[in-house]
Amino acid sequence: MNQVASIRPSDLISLAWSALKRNRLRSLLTVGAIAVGIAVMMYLISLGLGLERLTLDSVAQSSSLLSITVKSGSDQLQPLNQDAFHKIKAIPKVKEVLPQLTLKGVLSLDNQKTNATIVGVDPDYLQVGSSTPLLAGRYFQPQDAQTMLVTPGFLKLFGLDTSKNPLVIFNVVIQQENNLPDISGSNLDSISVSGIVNASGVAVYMPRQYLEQILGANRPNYDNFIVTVGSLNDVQPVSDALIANGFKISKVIDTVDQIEKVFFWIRAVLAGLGGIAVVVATIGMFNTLTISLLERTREIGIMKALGVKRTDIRRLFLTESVLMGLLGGGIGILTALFAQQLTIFVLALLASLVQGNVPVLFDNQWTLIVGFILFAILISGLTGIFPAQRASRINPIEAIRYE
Amino acid sequence: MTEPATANPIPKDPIPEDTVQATLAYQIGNDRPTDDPMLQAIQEEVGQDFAPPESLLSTNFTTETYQENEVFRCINLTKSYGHGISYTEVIKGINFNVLEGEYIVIYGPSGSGKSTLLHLLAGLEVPTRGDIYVRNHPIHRLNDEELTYYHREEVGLVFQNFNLLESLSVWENVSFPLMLAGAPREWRQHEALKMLERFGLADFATHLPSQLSGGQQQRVALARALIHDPEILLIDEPTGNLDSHSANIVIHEIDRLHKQEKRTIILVTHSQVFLPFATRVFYIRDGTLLTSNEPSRLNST
Repeated sequence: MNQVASIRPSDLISLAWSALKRNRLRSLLTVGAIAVGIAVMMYLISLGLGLERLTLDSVAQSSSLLSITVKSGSDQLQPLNQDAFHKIKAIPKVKEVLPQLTLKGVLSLDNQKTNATIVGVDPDYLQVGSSTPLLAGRYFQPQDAQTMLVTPGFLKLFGLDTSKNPLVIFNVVIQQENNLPDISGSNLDSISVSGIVNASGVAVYMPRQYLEQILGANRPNYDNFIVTVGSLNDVQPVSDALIANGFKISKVIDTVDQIEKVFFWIRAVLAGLGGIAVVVATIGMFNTLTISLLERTREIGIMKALGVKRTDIRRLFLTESVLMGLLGGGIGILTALFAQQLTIFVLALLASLVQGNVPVLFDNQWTLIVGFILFAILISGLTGIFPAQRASRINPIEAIRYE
Repeated sequence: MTEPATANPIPKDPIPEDTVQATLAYQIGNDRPTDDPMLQAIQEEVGQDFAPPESLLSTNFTTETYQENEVFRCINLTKSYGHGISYTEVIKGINFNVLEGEYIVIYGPSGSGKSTLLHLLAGLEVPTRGDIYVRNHPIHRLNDEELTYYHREEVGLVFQNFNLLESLSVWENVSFPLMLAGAPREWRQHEALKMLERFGLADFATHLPSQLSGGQQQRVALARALIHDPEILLIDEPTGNLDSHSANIVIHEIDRLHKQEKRTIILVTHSQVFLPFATRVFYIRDGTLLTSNEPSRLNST
């Protein structure tokens, strides 16, 4: 006898669709269960990704990934002085060495006075090294004198507006702590504010070269260097060279690695929680398909008697379950997106009470969405295999007798 | 000798008098021994007045080898269920053949095994012993593919309880066998409407089966059985769930399928109304056949 044709895929889908429509309530419940599972999982995972991105953003800009901080410490073999500066500068692949000088001082405006940290840096230190963004005004030039950048915390002490660059002139008295050469009384008159930088604490940033000029031989050792390199591949060799030369270092890239590691586990836990929801949904779907099979024994028998092949019965049942999975996945993703918007909306309401901003909490990459749709198809397909197999084995005559 | 030759049997079936009289108005023979146990058994079932055709009690087997015009050949066909204490033999070693263009009515009381016999012929059940050949192909030994081909191409099935697919519309039900063959939708719809037109159901094409009356559903089932133009029609108790008016329509439609379209029909029933239309009647009781040997009325119709 001839080879028997199979049902066309389009007919298979329309058959499956009419079967789902016929048991509308049951189909909806199954689709709903899958949707809930996928929605929970997607919501949690995108939250995990979003939180990770937020954390990383606050730690690292792409430029700061290319920098290594050389720190001072009591166990330091090598003091961070001019020698060290040149030594580091001589290491191959080092692009820039940006020293930071930290001093204590008293700043006064009219009758008001305050103690503050005076930080002597090159403008690149703020821009590249430590990624300290400018809130108002402008950065100073390396050769500038009698100028400084201030923090919002500093301005608040003087009751000044923190949103725009104040046109005021401070007097600065540098005080040297410890038992280093006495430079007390180094008076710097008429220091104008060139801008406000987004950094915490009460501090002012002044051009390093200008400070070094004032202090002359009394200059203390540097607090730290920020060493920049040209590409990510250079970070490791330069770090190794620094360590070999007896310097103590830290890298933003290490922190990023650690954050990624921590968030990998956070994501895994969140995915696990979502996974439980999906497992419950899958069991529900399995149950539904099996019960639906019992109810449809007669229908399957009729189909077989009319000449539907075993493989076609199996394909029909698989199509039904994949169709439900696809619908469940789609609805689940939409639900998750909606729940995210709802969360952001509620948080924005709360934030408006305290005049804060809501960061973008969720990270919905398209790969995540596509991944979830594929996942929904996969689990529904797997769930459907056993009932489909059972359906294809139904004896038509038992089925037709079955009332 | 017992009853006069012209006697109409008095039916025990709850079928209206007029229908029975209209359909049973034919002569039946009376030349047989009255002490025949099988005849007595039949008369017990259908009434004392009933006398079967002349050739009824002769052997039911024409030949054991294949002949050109043979559709079915069953040899020592046996079907049993269960094991040990629950063992029951439903079909007990039946032999017969069915030739092209015959209209066989398998007639017997409920529980006689007649439906099982039809299911065996339809390839829906596998015999415990014995052989069934369709056009010399042993259907009890076909694989899934071959059996599927048999269902799709060779045979049309009509069931007692219509067995329409509830989730599909009337026209989709009718054209279902065409869909299996991979025919395009438009063509299927066209063919289904043509067939429904013939059964006076064109207006119901987009209805669901549950929105139709029993008679309409049975006509849809007939339409479905015919859409792929099968040579053989296997029909199980087609009027069992119908009122007399609907039953009449179905009875005459089946008769037309036999007389005009020359299809081979095997119909299973416990109702006498089909008997006058048959070329041969197989009486079945307790799994044993009692048939007329000659396709006696085949030539006369």
